[in-house]
Amino acid sequence: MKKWILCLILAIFVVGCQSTELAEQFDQNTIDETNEQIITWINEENVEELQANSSAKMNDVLTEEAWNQVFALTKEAGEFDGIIESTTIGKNDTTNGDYAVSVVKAKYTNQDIIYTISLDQAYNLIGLYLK
Amino acid sequence: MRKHSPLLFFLLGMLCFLLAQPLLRIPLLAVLQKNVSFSNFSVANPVLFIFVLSLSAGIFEETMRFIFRKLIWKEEHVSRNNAMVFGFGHGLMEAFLVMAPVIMMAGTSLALPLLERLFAIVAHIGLTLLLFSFVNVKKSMLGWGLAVLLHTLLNFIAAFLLQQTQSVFHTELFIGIFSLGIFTTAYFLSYNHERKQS
Repeated sequence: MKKWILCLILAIFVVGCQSTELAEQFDQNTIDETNEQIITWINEENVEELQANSSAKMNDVLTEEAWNQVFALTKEAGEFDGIIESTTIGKNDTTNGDYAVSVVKAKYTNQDIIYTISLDQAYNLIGLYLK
Repeated sequence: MRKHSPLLFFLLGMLCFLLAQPLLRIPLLAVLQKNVSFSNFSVANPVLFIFVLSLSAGIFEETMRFIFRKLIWKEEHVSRNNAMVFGFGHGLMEAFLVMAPVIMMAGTSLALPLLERLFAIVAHIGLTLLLFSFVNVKKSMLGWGLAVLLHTLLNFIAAFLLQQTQSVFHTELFIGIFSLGIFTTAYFLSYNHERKQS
């Protein structure tokens, strides 16, 4: 019984642990600058720039109405006070090929926001999640 | 109220879920999700993350059930019916808290969420029966371990299936079969335990 449980946990770890190394075509500084720029545009509610720097697929999902919902969240968090912490990993799938995913903790006057920002090889926004 | 009254089992089953999830596990997860390393882990290892969430649900809910069983009924024998009533209260409280936001969403079909909750209640009755029955025969830790394992597997495989196949039907089918499996196994185990004792 114990062996079976151990095998099961090991199998989950083998399936669960994927490579997270950033593909070599990405530059960490450019990723950090792009992330900061995206957060600035969100704080400024600049839909035009956000849409111009997002993939076509992303723009299909994140319409102006959807962006307004994002802005409502950041407005509730208060005034932007800077980025506290950020980490980036590399991911790969059949739809996007190699891409970068950053988790960025941003400080606001009322509460912190954790952004999960995904960028493709052209540094276009292909995924965004806030909490 | 008598210590072995079914109403007490039902009410304590409800309270047990309230303590394990809304008052302990969910606030703890909310704090962890504000942590960059934890968020990074969820992005980097989504499958492992689902496993950790499933395991935490198993540990919190089954440990709370175990504490209730040991604290209130100590070494006393708890009947099969009362154990099932406790599990029903536990599952019903979860169903109420999960379904309340769904019901408030106008235009959402309730058939699938209701079916899913029904299976979850069956699983909770089975898990309680299993745990209480092992405590009855003085094999408490084995009962707790099995309950955590089955609870974790149910949550993990269901979430993993949904993530991989995006098929609600297949996920529901799995939840239904696994929950009935837990209940049937627990019922027969408890029946055997009682027969051996008498």
